Amino acid sequence: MTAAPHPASATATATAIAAAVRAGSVSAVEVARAALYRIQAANDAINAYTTVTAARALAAAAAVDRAVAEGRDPGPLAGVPFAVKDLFDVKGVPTLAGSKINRERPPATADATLVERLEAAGAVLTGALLMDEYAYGFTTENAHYGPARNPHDTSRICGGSSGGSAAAVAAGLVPLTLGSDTNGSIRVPSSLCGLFGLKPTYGRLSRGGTYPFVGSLDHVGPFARSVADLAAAYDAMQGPDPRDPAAAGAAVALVAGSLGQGAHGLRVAVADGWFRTAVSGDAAEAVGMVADALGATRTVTLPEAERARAAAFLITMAEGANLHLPDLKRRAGDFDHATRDRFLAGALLPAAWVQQAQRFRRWYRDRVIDLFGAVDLILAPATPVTAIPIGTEFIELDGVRVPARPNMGLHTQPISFIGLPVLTVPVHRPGRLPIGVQVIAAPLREDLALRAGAALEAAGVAAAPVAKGFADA
Amino acid sequence: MTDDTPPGMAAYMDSAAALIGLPVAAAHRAGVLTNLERAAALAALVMEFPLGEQDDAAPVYTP
Repeated sequence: MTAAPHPASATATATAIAAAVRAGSVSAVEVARAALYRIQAANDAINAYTTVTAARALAAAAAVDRAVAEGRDPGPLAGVPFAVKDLFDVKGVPTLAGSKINRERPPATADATLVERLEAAGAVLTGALLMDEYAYGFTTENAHYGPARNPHDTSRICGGSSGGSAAAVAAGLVPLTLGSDTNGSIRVPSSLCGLFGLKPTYGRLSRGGTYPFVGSLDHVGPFARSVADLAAAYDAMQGPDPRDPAAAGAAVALVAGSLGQGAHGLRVAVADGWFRTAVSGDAAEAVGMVADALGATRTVTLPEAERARAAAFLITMAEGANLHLPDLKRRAGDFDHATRDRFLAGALLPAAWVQQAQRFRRWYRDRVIDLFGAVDLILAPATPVTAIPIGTEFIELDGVRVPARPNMGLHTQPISFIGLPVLTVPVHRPGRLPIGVQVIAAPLREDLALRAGAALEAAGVAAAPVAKGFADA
Repeated sequence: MTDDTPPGMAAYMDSAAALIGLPVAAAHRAGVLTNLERAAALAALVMEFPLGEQDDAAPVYTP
């Protein structure tokens, strides 16, 4: 049996760190120092961080240690180092959202709600993480700040738009990060970097104090290397928030205690149709392994999924562009070339297209919700392929050469379109590039997806080891 | 601009951009057109789907 890793090491889980800090067997400062050292040592290679908040991290860690010494409760995530996609407000830092334009903004005057909540739980913020500009991408190849590099193979992409969030966890820099997901931006990097990633139900976690992209579709959520860690972070972050209209009435449904209930008795089906097209051998194998482990023998059809993806695309273009319209008018040249023309085009879409897309969304949502009468969980690929080399323009799917970047989110887009909760599970295939599977639940049933994830992890079907080359730090 | 560009697309781009006061620099025209074409192909999928008067827009406003 392998000894548990030291709490200050790269492979320690958040759960283990918090237990050790709470017990006083390791100091939060030692854990924070070790994380900051790893960040400094690795960031040139993977380009995950855009800002490192070293002084803040050490001060927060010292405060946790004082609480422990004084017999006060330091919180369920005591001493856990974390970081956030750089669209989350961090007090004293301009919120870059992956852009050059936002460098000119004044520093944030308050933390984002989820940053506040994780800190209140004792976690220690280490900095802000690289993303595609304004979240409009699936690869985190950022023209201003460079690409985020996949710790499993640094010539390859991390996925996006939360690429830095995934890279930081996959490289063992910190055990917990936050990202956002509008059309796939938590699920795609989770898949390509081999992590557990949770995109909760739309409106479950507050977007308060985050720089937006598409109000209709934006979600926020955590990345981690274990389901228990994900659940602990998710529980600490839940609760209503008047700062985010979509989360103003968010219900709290704690999950950490129910993970052990397992997946037995859950009705699980594999999505067919659209979700079986443009799927590589790797992706099909991964879905098959999860299906077998969960006893999923049947399939389910999400009707008109291709249309759903098209509608999500149009809504994204229109809302994203409208948000940026003043800058598009005055300084289009300051945008990343990868986002600029898409935003410009989005500003010009006929209202008829966008309005119809929102009406179709209601129709599609009603039909998909009906399916959950007969199934508890639906499985689908998280990405069509494993991580492609940085700079790849085209990939081949179903024998057809297609643009690589927009097609990364082929199977994620129809799901986030209607705000269903999704856990991405990294399928354990030793010696192969990582790839994940979407475990999709009905609205507000994150608990079922997480129970299935925990069962897959316990069975060794899903695993998120720190990438080779980073694990010994 | 490719041979496949719908004939009216460039004219639409210019008119719509002028209408909302959005300059499209010469260097960006081709990219914007490509993206409008992509959007048009996706919009065709959405627009051809029959919806009835019961099919309200998904977002519901709460005062």
